[in-house]
Amino acid sequence: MRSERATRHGKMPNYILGLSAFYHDSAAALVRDGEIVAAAQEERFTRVKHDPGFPRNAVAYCLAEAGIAARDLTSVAFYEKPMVKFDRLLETWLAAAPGGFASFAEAAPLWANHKLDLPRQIAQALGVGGVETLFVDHHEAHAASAFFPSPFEEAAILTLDAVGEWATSSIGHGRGSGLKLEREMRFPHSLGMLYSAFTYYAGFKVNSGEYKLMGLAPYGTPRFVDSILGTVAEISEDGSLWLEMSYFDYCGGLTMTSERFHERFGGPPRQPEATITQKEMDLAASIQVVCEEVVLRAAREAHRVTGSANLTLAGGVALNCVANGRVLREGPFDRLWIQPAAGDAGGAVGAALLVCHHRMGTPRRRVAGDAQRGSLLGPRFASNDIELLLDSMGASYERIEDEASLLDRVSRALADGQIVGWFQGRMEFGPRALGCRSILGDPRSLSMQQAMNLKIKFRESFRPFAPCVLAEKAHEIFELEPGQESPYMLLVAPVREALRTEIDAEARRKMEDPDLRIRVAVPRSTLPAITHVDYSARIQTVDEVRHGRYYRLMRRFFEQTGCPVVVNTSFNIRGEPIVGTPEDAYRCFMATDMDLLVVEDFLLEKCRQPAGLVEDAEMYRARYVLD
Amino acid sequence: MIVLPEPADRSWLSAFGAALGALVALGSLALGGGGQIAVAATAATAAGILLLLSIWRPEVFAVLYDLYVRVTRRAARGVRSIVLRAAHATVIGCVGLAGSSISREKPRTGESLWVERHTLDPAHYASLWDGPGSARGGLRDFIRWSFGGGRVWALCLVPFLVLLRVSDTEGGRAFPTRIYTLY
Repeated sequence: MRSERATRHGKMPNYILGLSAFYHDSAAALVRDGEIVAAAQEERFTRVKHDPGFPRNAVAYCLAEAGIAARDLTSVAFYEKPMVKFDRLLETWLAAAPGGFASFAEAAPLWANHKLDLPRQIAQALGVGGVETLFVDHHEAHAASAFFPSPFEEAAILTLDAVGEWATSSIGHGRGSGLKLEREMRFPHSLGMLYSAFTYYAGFKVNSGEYKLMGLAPYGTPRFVDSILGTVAEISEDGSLWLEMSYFDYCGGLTMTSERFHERFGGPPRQPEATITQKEMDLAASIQVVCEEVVLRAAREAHRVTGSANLTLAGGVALNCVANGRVLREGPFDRLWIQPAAGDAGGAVGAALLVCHHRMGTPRRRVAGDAQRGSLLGPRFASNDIELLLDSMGASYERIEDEASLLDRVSRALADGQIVGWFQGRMEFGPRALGCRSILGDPRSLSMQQAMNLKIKFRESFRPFAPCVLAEKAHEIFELEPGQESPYMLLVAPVREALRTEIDAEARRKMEDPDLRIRVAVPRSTLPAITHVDYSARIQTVDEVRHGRYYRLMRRFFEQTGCPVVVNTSFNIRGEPIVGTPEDAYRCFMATDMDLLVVEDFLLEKCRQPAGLVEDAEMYRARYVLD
Repeated sequence: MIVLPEPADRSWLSAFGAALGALVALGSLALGGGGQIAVAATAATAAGILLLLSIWRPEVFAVLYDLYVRVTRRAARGVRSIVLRAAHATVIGCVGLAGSSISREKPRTGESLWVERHTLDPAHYASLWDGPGSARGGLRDFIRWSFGGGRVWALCLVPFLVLLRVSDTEGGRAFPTRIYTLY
C-alpha cells in the first residue's frame, strides 16, 4: 500500500482511476488525493446510450484532465468483485436447474471469454502494465459515492439498487474518512428488480425506462397495491423486502416477469410503443406507492441502526426523486444528500474514493457545500477550439465576449418563447442535464411543453419538463423550506397552491381523456410546462457558486420577466446520449427546431445557418435506438 | 481462437496467405516423403507462389479469407452451442439437484430479510473475490477461487470454459441485450 509517492521533485499525488464497466452505463472517474478531478460516462463519447463497453474515451478524458498518463496512476479501482458476482450467477443457475438454459447460454460465454479475465482486459485497455488493479464491493462503491462527497462529517448510508454481487440494498454508517456497511438484503429479493419488473411489464426498457414509469404514476390510481403486497412482494416494518419468485423470470429466463405475473395483472406485458392505457398508469401508481413505502421504511431502519440525523443515498433506486422527496418530508432525517450519479456510473467515483480513503488512508477533506462540484466533472471546451470548429463547419455565429450582453440576448429570446440550446462549461456526470448541456425554455408558455416534445425531443411525452429555479426563490414557487437545496434534480416537491390554476369543467373533461398528451396539456399552474398532473415538479435549485453563468442567465431572465424558473431538459433527442461536444450540440441543434444555440461565448441563430448544414431530422433520429 | 478478425486488414490477409503456403509446403514434404515426387514438386511450387503472393499481393486472398471466416464462425457457434448445452445439462443440472444457496422461502411474520454484513477488508481489494489473493485473471484465478471458496464442483466447469474460449466468435465483447441481471 502506498499512501504517497516520491518523485525527484517531491511528493507525487495519489491518482486513483475508478471504473464502472461491462454491465451498463460504463464510466470512469479520477480521484487525486481524495478530490474528484474528473468523471464521465462513456456513452457521451461513443454516442451509444448506456454503453456497456470499457470506458476508454472516458478514461482518456480523465487522464487528460489531470494532465497525467496511465503509468502515473497509483491504482485502478473496479466497481465490483467479479468472482463474487459469478458466484451469485452460478447459484442462480443452480436454483433454476434443470431450467434456466436461456440465461446461461446468454451469459456464460461472456464470462468465459471476458469477465473472468478482467485484470488483463483492463491492463490491455489502459495500455500499461504494472498499475495495481483493485476490485471493491459493488454496494460499498455505491456507499462511498454517497457518503464521501456528501457535506456530512457523519451520516447514515442507504444504498438501493437492482443487484451488485449478492447485495441488493445495504445500510451503513459513514464517519470522517471511514464507512461501514452493517446490513444488507440479498438477491433475488430486490426493490430495484421489483421496480424494473413493472417497468418491463409496462412496456418500457429495463435499466433505462424506470424514470418513465415514475413519471406515469401521477396519472394512475394505486389500485394494484393489494395485488402486489402480500402475494408478489412482502414488506417488513424495517423496509426489508421479500419477492415471491414464481412471479418473476429474471433468475432463469430472458424476461423480467413470468406467466403467473401476467395472469395476476391481467394479461401480457404492453408492447413497447403501444398505446399506454389506464392499466399501465395504475400499475405505475401502484408500484410507486410500494417503492416509496420500502424506501421510507428502509430509511427509518437506517436511522434506527445508525442514530444519525443525516442520510446519504445511492444506487439506481435513489434516482426515484418522488421517493426521495418523501424521505425528506416524512423520514426521520434532518438532512439528505443523494449522489447525482446514483446508478452504476457513480460506482466509478465510489470505487476510487473507497480505495483512496480505505486503502491509501488519505484523510477526507470536507468542502463547503459538497465535494461533488455540482457534478460538473466532464470535459469543457476552450473558446478558440469552438471557433475553429464552427469555422470548419461553416456555421454562422456571433462571438459575444461580454457576458452581460450574451445573457441579455439569451434571456430575451427565452422570454419571447424561443427554445435555446445551452452548452456551457464542464459536462455533467450522471443522468441529468444540470444546466451545462441543456435545452431551455420559458415555463410560463402554454405551448412550450408540446413544442419541446414534438419539435425538439421527437417524442409524444406524458411527462412535463423539469424546472430550474433560482435557489433563493425555490421556496416561493415550490413547497420547500427556505434554504432547502436540490442542486442535482433529485427531489420532487409540489408547486405552491397560490400558483396553481383553477380546473374548470372543460379541463376536467380533458384530464380524463385516454390520450395522455391531452391530459398533460391541461395547465395546472402559472408554470404549465413544468407542473405535473399532481402539481409536482422535479426541481433543480440553481445557485451562483455551483452554476455560475447559468445562474446569472436565470437571474437575468428573472429580472426581465419576474419568473425565477426556466424549463430545463437534457440536450439530446429521444434515444440519444446527452451531447458531449460542441459538434454534437451543433448537429442536434441543426436537426431539431431549436431557435438558438449558445456554446460558451458563441451565439448561433437557426435562421442564419447555411441551408446546406441543416441535418435531416429523420436521418438524425434513425441513428439512435428508441429508449 | 479459431475465428479470424473481420474485416481483414492487409497484415491479416498476408498472414493468412503465408499460413496457407506453409500448409501446402508441409503437404508437399509429406508427399515427397511418400515418393510422389511429381505431385510434391507441384505442391512445392504452389506453396512458393502462395508465399510470394502473401508478401506482394495479399489482397488476392480476400475471398478465401472471407469464406474461411464464415465457415469457422458457423462452426464455432455450433461448437459453442453444444458446449453450453453439455455444461448446463451435466454440471449445472447435476449440481443443481443438490440445491442452491438462493433463498426463496417466505420469511416468518415479523422476520427481517436484512442480514448482517461486514465491510470488506481493504487488503482484499486486490483479489477478484472477497478474500485474500491477487488478481491475475483467467482460469487460474477461477480455479483458485473454486478451491478456496469451497466450490470445488465449479472445477467441473473448467473444460467447458476452455472450450467456450476457443470457440469465441465475438472477441469476448458481446454484451447480452436480452437478460437483465445474469451477466
